[in-house]
Formats: sequence, structure tokens, C-alpha cells
Amino acid sequence: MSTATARLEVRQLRVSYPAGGGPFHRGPDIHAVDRLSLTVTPGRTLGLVGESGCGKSTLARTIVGLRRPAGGEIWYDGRRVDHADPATRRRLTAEIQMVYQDPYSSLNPRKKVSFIVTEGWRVHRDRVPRHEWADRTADLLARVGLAAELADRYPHQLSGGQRQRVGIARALALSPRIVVCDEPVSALDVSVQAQTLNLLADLREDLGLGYLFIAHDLSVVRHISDDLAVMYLGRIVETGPAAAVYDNPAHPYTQALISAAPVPRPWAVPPRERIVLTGEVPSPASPPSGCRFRTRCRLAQPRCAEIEPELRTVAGREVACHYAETSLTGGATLDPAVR
Amino acid sequence: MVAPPPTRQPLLAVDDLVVSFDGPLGTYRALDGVSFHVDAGETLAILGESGSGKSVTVRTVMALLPRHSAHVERGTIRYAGEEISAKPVRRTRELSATEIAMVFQDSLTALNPVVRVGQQIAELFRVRQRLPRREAWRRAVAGLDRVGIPHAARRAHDYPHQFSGGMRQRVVIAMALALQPRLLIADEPTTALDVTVQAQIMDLLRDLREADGMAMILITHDLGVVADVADRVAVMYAGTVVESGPLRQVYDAPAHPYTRGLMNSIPAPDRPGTRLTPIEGMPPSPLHPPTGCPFHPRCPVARPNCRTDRPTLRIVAAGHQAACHYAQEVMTGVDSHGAA
Repeated sequence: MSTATARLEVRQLRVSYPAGGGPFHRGPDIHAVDRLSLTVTPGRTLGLVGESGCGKSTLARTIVGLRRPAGGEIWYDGRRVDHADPATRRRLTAEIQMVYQDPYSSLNPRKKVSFIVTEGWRVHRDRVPRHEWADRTADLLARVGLAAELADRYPHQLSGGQRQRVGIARALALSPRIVVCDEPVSALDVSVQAQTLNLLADLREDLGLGYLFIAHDLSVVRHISDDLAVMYLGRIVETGPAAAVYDNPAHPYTQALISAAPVPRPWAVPPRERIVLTGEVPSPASPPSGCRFRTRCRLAQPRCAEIEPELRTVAGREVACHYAETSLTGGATLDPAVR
Repeated sequence: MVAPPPTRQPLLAVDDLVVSFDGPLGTYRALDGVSFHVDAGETLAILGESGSGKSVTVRTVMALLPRHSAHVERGTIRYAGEEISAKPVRRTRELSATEIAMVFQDSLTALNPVVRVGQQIAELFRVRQRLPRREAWRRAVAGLDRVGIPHAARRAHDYPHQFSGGMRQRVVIAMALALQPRLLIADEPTTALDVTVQAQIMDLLRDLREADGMAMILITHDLGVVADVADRVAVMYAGTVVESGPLRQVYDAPAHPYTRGLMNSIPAPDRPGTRLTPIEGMPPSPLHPPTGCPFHPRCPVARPNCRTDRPTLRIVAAGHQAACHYAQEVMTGVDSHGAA
């Protein structure tokens, strides 16, 4: 398989949850992810940011096959994953693995590390012959910087950082090309977080992995990503090269998100205006008409309530805002250096 | 009740606090000689990773430690010159009810789920200030309005679960500030919140603190949040304060190798993709603390005496202290991230 084609492509994906409703009627479906498209390429990292409830974890779970999409397509290596027959589907999804946020709850507490890491081989029986498991497990642990002796430990005997490495080793067991990392470092302390980020970067280089890296910590996402996508209420509002999106955001929401993130040494970076958003994220059950961000947007005009903006190319990235140009230059007083 | 402190007397002074816990695997020291102070009106950030003892420290101050498993072995806590650690827990609790207030990370557990939020705040005025019911309610609504809850008069009738996380944290803050405390202790107040809501809450805390001239202790693991609001910072590691001083001084010229390690661990926004410099290893188990300096097993500049002699906090610059034998060297050493 060539690196060029082993891409993960999500096209117009829609994932729904049934809304509450009552005992005799079903409420309208809530679209947690709505007409969302993205591409993850081996060897590169797409960072995905957004606040809680924006649908980023639902998206991750759908990509790895833990949820069924309500619409749209998922393609991997030139083949459609979501409508494949079960055997093909299993083979394809083995190459798309996931690293979970919480290294405490994502590992079975009753199983030893050796069992957890070999889980995938138990499901995909043809992959690794039984007599090679011990050696291959030691290789995997070494790959993620853990001593081979740890194979006989239980998760509770490990530190948070070690547990997350076990989670990464498990994800690597089936030699995936794409790894979906859902907040992989947010439960870790700063010093351990740096070790884990270095490890993920090494694995990407050595194994040519493509990451979909989901996080709420913007400095972490900026650090590891080549490209960025910003989600709001189930849709991507801005996406493009990390440098363009992070350093010079065009969507008013991206601007607010980046300006709200605390900077460790604010005096060492150019002064910036903080945009504090008022109000809260509307419920995905009843998103605002037109642009979903308009209820909190400082640039909102009557037109924003009528026509939903689609992604279009502006200044080297794609942005879903009618007034992206204004936002980039005049309307945005985000960073005086930008103007 | 307590006389205003004369100048130069800290509002809260903690000295050499040692607290041990009886755990299932034996007795261990959660705090091993913690010293810091907070002046009236200033914000001190206590920065540390999980297990460093930040929360135990403030819980000791508030007399909130579990009664049977925790033991204060040594140390003094003075509030406005009065030693409160020697007094009965009841006295401390009384003080903490009126003078010192606390905001916890998890706002849902800090509120009573079956009592209307207005009632929970009004209760404070009724019990502590013996205000009549109607007046107490009026003040509760005013308090909710002050922390930016829209339609406060109506929302005061709501129950905690009817508020979003950010709004609920505002309710908790309104409750903490109701009796106009002189010291607010905020334990990871924004950790559970989204970044844009976090910004709203931190702005609110800063505004309220300035308006009331209240002092604040902010407990956090987030170096960025610290930089946002703190005047001074105390860095904790393995149950002790390893460095404290004015914010910029500690951040730009850290004198303890652990602080420097923390600064190097965070991604620099202006240098994406460059390799991070983590602190090697992991914090020691409190059951088996290292001899000498608690940081020596992970320290890049450790020398033989670090294994045997425990360094104490000493002054390295005006108002800046560090517990490292080689603090001067660390402070002047060239930082790999090139601190400005």
C-alpha cells in the first residue's frame, strides 16, 4: 500500500443522536456532527479543536467505527469503510486506531499490560502468530519507552504517563496508518505531557503515522499539528495550515478561542486583545438559523441569520464566515501586528 | 472580629507545615515542611502537579482534613497575626466561614442539589448575619447579579442542575463572596471548564478581587492561568514549596531546577514542532521519599550533596526564594528556551 493513497477521508459526515421526546413520540434527531469533511494523511497531523459538546469526540468515535454515521462517507485507502462488508470493514478499520483521553478508565483494570496490548491480535487472529506474541509485546513496549517487565503489571501499578504509553502501544499493535488521538495528554501533568508529546512525534516520524489529534489545549495542538480544524456545534468553521489558522485566524470563533487561551509568559509575546465571548454554546438540539456562531459573534449581521455560510478559501485557509475578509483585517482587532 | 493587619504583616502565613496521612499502605507525609505567605489584597498562585500537596495545603488551612486519617505533625498557620492552627477546629471553621472563602473545582458537588441556589446563598446571610428572610433573599439575588448571571431575580429560583458548568461556577463564586471574605481560596476553579468560559471566570475573579481588595490564593497546575492573574507564585513539589517569588521573576529566571523543567516542558507558541524538553522520570512516591533534596533523582544539575542534604528555602533575590543548593547557578544558567 502506498503512503499516497492510504489517506483517511471523511466526506459530508453526519452523526445523529435521538433527542429526548416523550413516551409516545420521538423527538427530532440531534446532529452532533453535521456535514463535516476532513482528510488525515499518513505522516501528518491534523489538529482538531473545539469546546465540549462541539461533537469532536463523537466524530472520533465514528471514524474508528464505534458509532454509525447517519449520513456521509468515510473512505480509507481509496475504499469506502462505512458501507463495506463486515470482513473488509474489519480489515480497514484495523488500520485506523484510537488513543483515548483517560489512561485510567480506558484500560481494563483486571487485565495485565500483556493482555491489554495483545487485544487486537485476539480480534484479528491472522495478524500475529501466537508464539510471537511475547516478543512482539516486548517490541511494542520498547517502542513506547516502557520496560519489558511492565508487561506483567496491572494498570493500577503504573503511573498516568505509563498508562497512556500502554494505551499507545495497544493502538500500535495492528500497525495502523491512522491514529485518532482523543485528548491524549489532557489528563497528564505538564512534565509527563511533554514526554508523551515527544513520543507521539517520534512515532509519527518513524512509522509514518497520520494523526487526527483532538485537544482543547491550543498550545498543545499548535505544537504537534501541521493542519488545524476548528469545530463549533458539529461543523468545521475554519481549517487550513496550522500557521495560518493559529497565527492569523479568520473566523471570529477561532479568534475568540485563541485569544482566550492563557499564555504561559504573556509578556514575552506581542500584546493581543482578549475577546471574551458572551453567552454560551447553544444546544445542538436547536442550533441557530443561518450561521451557528452568530448568536455570540461580534461581527454578526442580519444576513448571518438567513444564510448558513459554507467553507470557502480565504487567505490560504478555508473558513465558513460571510465576513471572513472583514474579520481578518478591519473587524478583527485581535492582534495589532496582523493589520 | 479580627483587627486589620498592620502593614508588612501577611494576611496568611504558613510556616513549616507537616501533615501526614494514614493510608492503606502505611503512613506517609503529604506535606513536608510547607511555608508561604499571602499579603492583604494580593494574589498568590500555588502551582504544582498532581500529588504535590497543593490541595492538602489549603485544606489544612481551612481545617477540612479528614479527622481520623490526617495528622498535623508540625507547623503554624497565622491569619492576620493570630495563630489559628493551635485553636480548636470549630474556631477555625468559624473564621473560614466569614473571613476566608473557598471555591472548589467541581461546582456541582459544592452546591446542594435539592435547594434553590438563591436559598443557598440567602441562608448564609440568615445564619451569619441574622438578616430577615426577605432581606437575605434580596442580597442573594444581588450577589448572583454581581457575578454576571443574567436574569438573577428569576434564576435564583432555579436548582443547581439547571445551570451550565460556567454559570454554576459563578453561583459558587457568588456564594463564596457573599460575606465579603478577605481571602478567597480558589482550588482549580476553571479546570473543568472550556477555554472561553475559563476566560470569563478568570476575568470575573480578577474584577471582583480588585473591587473588593480581597486577597486570593489560586491553586492550579496551569502555568498560563497563573501568568494571567497572579502577583506572586509558589511552586510545590513532593509536598514542599521549592520556589516562591514575584511572578515574572520566577517565570523568567527560575531558581529551582524543577521550575525550570516545568517552563521547558510547555510548548512554546512561537516555536511549533520543536522537540520539548521534559523533566525525566516521575515524581517520587510519598511512601518512599528520596533522601536529601526531594527533586534530586530527576534533577539535571544534582551533585553528591543533593542526595544527603535537604535544601531549605533561601533568598536568591528580593522576595524570591528557592530550595536548591545551586539556586544561584540555576538562575543565571542559560535557559534552553532563552528566557527573555
